[in-house]
Amino acid sequence: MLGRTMLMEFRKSWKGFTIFIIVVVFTAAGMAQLFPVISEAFEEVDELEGEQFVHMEIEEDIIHLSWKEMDDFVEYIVIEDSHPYMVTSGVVNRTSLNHTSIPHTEEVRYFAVIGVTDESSKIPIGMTSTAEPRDPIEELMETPFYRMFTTGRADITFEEIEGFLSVELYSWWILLVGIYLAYISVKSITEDFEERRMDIIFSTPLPRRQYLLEKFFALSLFTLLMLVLSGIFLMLSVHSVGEAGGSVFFVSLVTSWPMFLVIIAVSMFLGVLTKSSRIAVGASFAVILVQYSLFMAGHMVESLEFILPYTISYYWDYNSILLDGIFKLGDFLVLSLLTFIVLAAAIYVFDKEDIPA
Amino acid sequence: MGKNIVIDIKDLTKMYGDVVGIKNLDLKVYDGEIMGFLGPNGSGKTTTIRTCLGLLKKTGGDVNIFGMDSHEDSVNIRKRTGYLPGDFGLYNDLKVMTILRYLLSQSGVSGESSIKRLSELLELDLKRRYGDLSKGNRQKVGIVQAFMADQDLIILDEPTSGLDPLMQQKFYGLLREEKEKGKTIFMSSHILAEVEEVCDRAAIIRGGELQVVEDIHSLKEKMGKKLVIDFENGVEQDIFDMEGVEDVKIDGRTATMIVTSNLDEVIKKVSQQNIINMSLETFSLDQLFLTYYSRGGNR
Repeated sequence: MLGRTMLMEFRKSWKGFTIFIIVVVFTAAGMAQLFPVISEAFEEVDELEGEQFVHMEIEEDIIHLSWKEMDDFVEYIVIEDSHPYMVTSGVVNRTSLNHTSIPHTEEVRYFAVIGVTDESSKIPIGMTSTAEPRDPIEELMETPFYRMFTTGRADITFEEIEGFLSVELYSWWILLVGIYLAYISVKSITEDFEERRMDIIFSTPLPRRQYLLEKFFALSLFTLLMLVLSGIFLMLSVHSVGEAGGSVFFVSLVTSWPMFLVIIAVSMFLGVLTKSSRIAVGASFAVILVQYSLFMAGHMVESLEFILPYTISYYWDYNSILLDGIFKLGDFLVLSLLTFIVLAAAIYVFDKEDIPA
Repeated sequence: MGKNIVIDIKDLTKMYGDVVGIKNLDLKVYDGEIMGFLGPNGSGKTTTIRTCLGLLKKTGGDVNIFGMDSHEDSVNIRKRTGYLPGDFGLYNDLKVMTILRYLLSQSGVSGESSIKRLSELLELDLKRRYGDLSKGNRQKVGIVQAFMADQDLIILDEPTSGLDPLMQQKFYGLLREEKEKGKTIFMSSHILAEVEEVCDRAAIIRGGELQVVEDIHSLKEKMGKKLVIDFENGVEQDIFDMEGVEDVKIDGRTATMIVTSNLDEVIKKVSQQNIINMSLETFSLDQLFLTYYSRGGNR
């Protein structure tokens, strides 16, 4: 009878569902609570570290650097990089004097001076840059590494809660929710095989198609419930830290639903195909992680941008809702179509195969 | 017994890759009869049953149940069929009553009176969690779910496995009751005595091929029973020299033989001697296969 299998899904899994909803709601709402502390820390950083100790003068095509001389140092090392965090820096000069000159180029350059003591220990003295003074964290966000978490958007800043949550919650939301969903979706099918329930389930006049669809609807509804609750609590949490614009967080979170429907459908398909929890859980995790990695890589490296439309994450553009207030209906349709196709494939495979004893 | 065919299996073949599950099987089960399906473990009984129910996809041949194709019309067939699998599991965390109610509602039947009646008969506690039940009690849950929707055809795969002898007798009683109501029952077993006790006819399968289909009475006649007698003073072999007694072996004071008929004569004759002990055993299935063909059983 219609709906019985769906109810059964809730009945046998409600404990796990409840625990997971609590975890997700706490994560979402808790992240917003961190915002005041973190944004404060970021606001304080408005100059390069030790900028007052290194002096720079640009004279046509020569850069003159000078710094405060100290007794403890026998040598000074000047390093430079195109970014303020000096991860890929190279040595420009080594000198025992307290100044040096370097040819000037058009590029933005950051310099750091490190003092070497007679015991060969190295102590940073300070930094300077040819760039306009900028927040190094903002610089960092524009680097390829951080573009992974900003979906390549330059207008994301930690000083606003939308930007903060975009990077710290939305960017890995698919992992937080998707991994668990994949697990329970696979299990909801493979457990019936592995616990040998299929024979009795299909001794009732339940068509195999209906069995899969009812499970799919149960898992979809559970996901929607979880997203709505997370959305509400996130909204309340944003409100409680004194920030405005709560509903945009709710909408952007709940619109991840179609993306998760794809994950549920794919996991169920893998469950039906392999009939093995171990294989199907592994395969569905791999699908999520691989597509996530490709999504990240597509944002990190420009030449890989063509990959993006082949990932699932691409079709949930949370930043478009968070930052621009635009919901992309086209993306919603792509995900719905994909869900439909994968579910149809699952039904096709399940209908034509043996149920192993 | 009516003559309407309920299960009609024609030339059914099921292969698992290159391995033969069942081969060219032909079998008819008639309305209102209890048909036993006998065979050793791994002979293809479960494969036949699960192919009939559409759980397995046939490789060749046809199965019609209630005149409907078992694959095209599987859902409609299942509306009229109860099934006890040979090996099954259910929801370990749920109470027996919850599970049975769910399964009953799937069959479109409302009301729980049949669940109550069957569980009382089999002494099954409906309030316990399925996962906490012993093997025997789990089997009872399987039996209840097979009968509870009051369907026309009941297919049972090794129904008494895990049941103690007392419960087995209750189960046989249930079978007879259902037969009275006009149900058709198709049950597999590897225990000859069980089939003898409750079935009207028996089909015997071995190595995926049907060996024989026979009325239970003629099967019994052809099969005979093993008679063992311990005499106080030993006995001469020639006193057993009569129609219906074969394979007589004397070992000291013990005589062993197979009796297919004339049991009455044998007892009368040996009663002139002093007897210490006497036993009459139904064959095991293996013994049946060993002796059946030598006794002229025909396919």
